[in-house]
Amino acid sequence: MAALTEAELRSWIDRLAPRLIALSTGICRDRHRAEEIVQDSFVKLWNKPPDGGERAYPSWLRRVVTNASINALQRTRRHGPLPEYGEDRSMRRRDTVSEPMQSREDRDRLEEALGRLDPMKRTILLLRGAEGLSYDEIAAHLDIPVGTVMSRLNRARAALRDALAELSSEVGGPVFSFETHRDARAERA
Amino acid sequence: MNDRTDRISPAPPTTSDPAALPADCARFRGDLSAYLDGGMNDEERRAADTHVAACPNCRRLADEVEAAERVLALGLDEDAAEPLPAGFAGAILARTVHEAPVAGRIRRAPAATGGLVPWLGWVAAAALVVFNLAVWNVDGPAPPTSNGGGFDRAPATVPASWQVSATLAAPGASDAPAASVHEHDDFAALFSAATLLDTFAETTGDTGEAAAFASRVIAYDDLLPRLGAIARDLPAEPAATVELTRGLLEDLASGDPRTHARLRQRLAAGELTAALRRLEVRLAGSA
Repeated sequence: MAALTEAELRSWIDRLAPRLIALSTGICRDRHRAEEIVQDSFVKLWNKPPDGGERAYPSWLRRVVTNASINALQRTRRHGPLPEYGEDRSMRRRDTVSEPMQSREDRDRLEEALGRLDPMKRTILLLRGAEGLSYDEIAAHLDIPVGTVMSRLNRARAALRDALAELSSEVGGPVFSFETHRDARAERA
Repeated sequence: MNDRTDRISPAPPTTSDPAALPADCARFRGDLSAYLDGGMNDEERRAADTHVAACPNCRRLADEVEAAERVLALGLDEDAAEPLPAGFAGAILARTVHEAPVAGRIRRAPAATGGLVPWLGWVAAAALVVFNLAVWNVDGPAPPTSNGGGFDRAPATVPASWQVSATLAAPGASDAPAASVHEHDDFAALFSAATLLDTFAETTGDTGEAAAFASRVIAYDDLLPRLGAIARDLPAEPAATVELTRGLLEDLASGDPRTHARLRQRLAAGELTAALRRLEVRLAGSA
């Protein structure tokens, strides 16, 4: 018996699906597949909502989407890439006219660097750097010990930085034009 | 707030060879996440800050990683601000709120008697595959090689492997072929077969005849459980694979144009051709 009403399901879709699609796209690098994964996840939510009630829905959905996205990428690699998605950047995300050019260059370079990482490194960077999850939350999402999160995150960050350095040496010029906020790091500490 | 707005120049890529680093740099890089994420105690923090102040390479490393994660976060925010594609929520509702009571759930046992109407959608999808397999194997018409829309279709001749896919889908026959061929590739081929045959039916307009055929093949209503049995041995999350296939067949039955568009793209990607070739090679090896 479904625990959700249609209106509730619609509301959760509206509130959570856009970000879940963005997260899934970041992991599996395929927006169309990400949309399918998120749709499947909401179907699972409807069929068997997690224990803990509505408060558990966002975390549960993100976890389901994260793991499905990793698995989808592994399946894609087994069967070969889908070049119509993988090579056409416009199909992965929409470039907006209003987006500052330098910011877009930063993003493109970062995406290029992320694409050189293995899925698990990319996933853990997204969960920490973009989603802002705690180590405990990341551990729960990926079903790994908390101690492993830090070591994996360290390796992922080092790999990202090396990939950016590689790109930088390939194209010449700086890694980022982006402003850095060292004071923000101190605040986070 | 004291923002630095200068561009970050690339530092030498030294993170991959920590053994060659000075001890302080190696220690800092080993603790990089604790440093960035506030996981250090006061003493550790002071030592790290002292090192960063004195070491331009480690300072640059921390800045680059932090800047990268800020770009990452902003990028995700921008992507998340995009509107949902048209029909996105509707497709979910169709599979949940508006789903038929017994719409071919894989975990359900097939209906022993009757049940034609509830199963019809699934039977139609299965029949679409079976019907076209029959057409191609018995009568042997070559599938179209182009639709004029710029994508190439799968092989112009029907490979013998279609028969195996059909056998796999047939009631009571799933055990025999499974012992001699790799189930994963069979599944992939069957998946691709459904894709191609749907496009074939769409192109030739045979869906009406396929629907009529569906009324005579109620026995095939266990196609999905058989797909589930195949998928159970897949290494990567069988439930997701089953769900993927169920969604595909559901979309095929409902004629979702977005699915058709995606399927065409996958055909263009050569996925189907590759799957068929894999299956043919395995069949040749197991013959």
